[in-house]
Amino acid sequence: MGKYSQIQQSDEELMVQVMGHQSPSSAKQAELALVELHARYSKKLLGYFIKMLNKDVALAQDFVQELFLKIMEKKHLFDPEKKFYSWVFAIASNMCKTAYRHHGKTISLNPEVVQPTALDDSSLEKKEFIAALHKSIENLEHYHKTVFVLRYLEHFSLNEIAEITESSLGTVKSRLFYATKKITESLRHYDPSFETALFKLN
Amino acid sequence: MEDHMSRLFDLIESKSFEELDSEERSFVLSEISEEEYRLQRKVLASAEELQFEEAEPLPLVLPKGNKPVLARSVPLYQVLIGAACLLIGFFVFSSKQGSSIDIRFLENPLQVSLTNTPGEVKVIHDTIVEKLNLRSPIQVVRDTITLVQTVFVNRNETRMLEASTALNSIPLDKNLLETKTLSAKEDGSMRFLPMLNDFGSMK
Repeated sequence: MGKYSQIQQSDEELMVQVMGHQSPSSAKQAELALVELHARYSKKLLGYFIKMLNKDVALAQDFVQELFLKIMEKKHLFDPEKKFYSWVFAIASNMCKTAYRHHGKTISLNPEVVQPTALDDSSLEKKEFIAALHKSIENLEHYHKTVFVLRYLEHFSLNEIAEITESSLGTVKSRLFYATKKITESLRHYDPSFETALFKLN
Repeated sequence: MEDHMSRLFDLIESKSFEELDSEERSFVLSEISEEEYRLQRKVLASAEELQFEEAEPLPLVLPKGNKPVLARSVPLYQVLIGAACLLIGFFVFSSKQGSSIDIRFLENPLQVSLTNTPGEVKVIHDTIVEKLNLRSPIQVVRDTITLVQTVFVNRNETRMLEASTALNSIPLDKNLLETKTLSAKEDGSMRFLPMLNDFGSMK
């Protein structure tokens, strides 16, 4: 089966080929299928890991490589009835959670409150606001950070996030609400009246 | 509670504060302040504008073929079983010259030692030497009493001068040397015996 036909196959069909590696003759086919999945998902996964791992690009690259090795190891756990993206992002989220446990990347109980320095310079204040927002997202607890990044930085739908996190839609929404609430607590010094001029919600 | 948070989230994501109808506005204000509502919307709008470093993913590196034996990960229980088998095998098949297990009994001193032949055990009692083939030296330790019985009960030859095992030896102590009988003078039953003087007068 050539590379052209692999491009036409769905993610789930490719993953079935990876799972079906039982003989040396199918090993090559499984390898090609995995390489195609890597081509489709590696950039998005790298972006996700960069956001989840506090912008550590080198660590994010390692995580992408390790994730595809995990796909090979745990290919028997994939359910062909379900979506591949939800399975692979669930693995990615669990890797981040494990990294937090080992390296102590958890939120502080007293998040840093950033004080704006120049209230009359709107562009400078916006820059400070953005910097403070970055910091606040980094400091979120794992479950809140996962849903916030998937929703507002990776642009997944609420149903997709529910599949990835294996939780209900209501749970996803409440986690998103609490994540946003946590962020606003550390940004409350910024006057929301600037909203209409500087920020527009799509 | 989750329903309230879920509804609040839906409103924050979809409507500005001015776009809320009266019922929605009263619901929102029962949960959070107007300032917080506006700030949360500001945070969500800003988040979508955040920029992160763009990077190209590195090429996928797949492991080549089978891993070498030493590079494979082995479950811990298999390691423990292997180590135990190695120890048992070493214990069973290795034997050193002159190695012995000295098992002493108070009444029948006995020496048990491993010979140069694997699986063979030498049992020595006094001048009697018996060689027994055993499945493992572990059996020597565990079945010592049985082993002693095997040596003494099943052996065909016995020493000429050896005392029987059934004989209960009486421990020698000063009690044995003490006389416990009464003298003739003190013995009351002596009066029933004829006097010696009478024998002399009988004709």
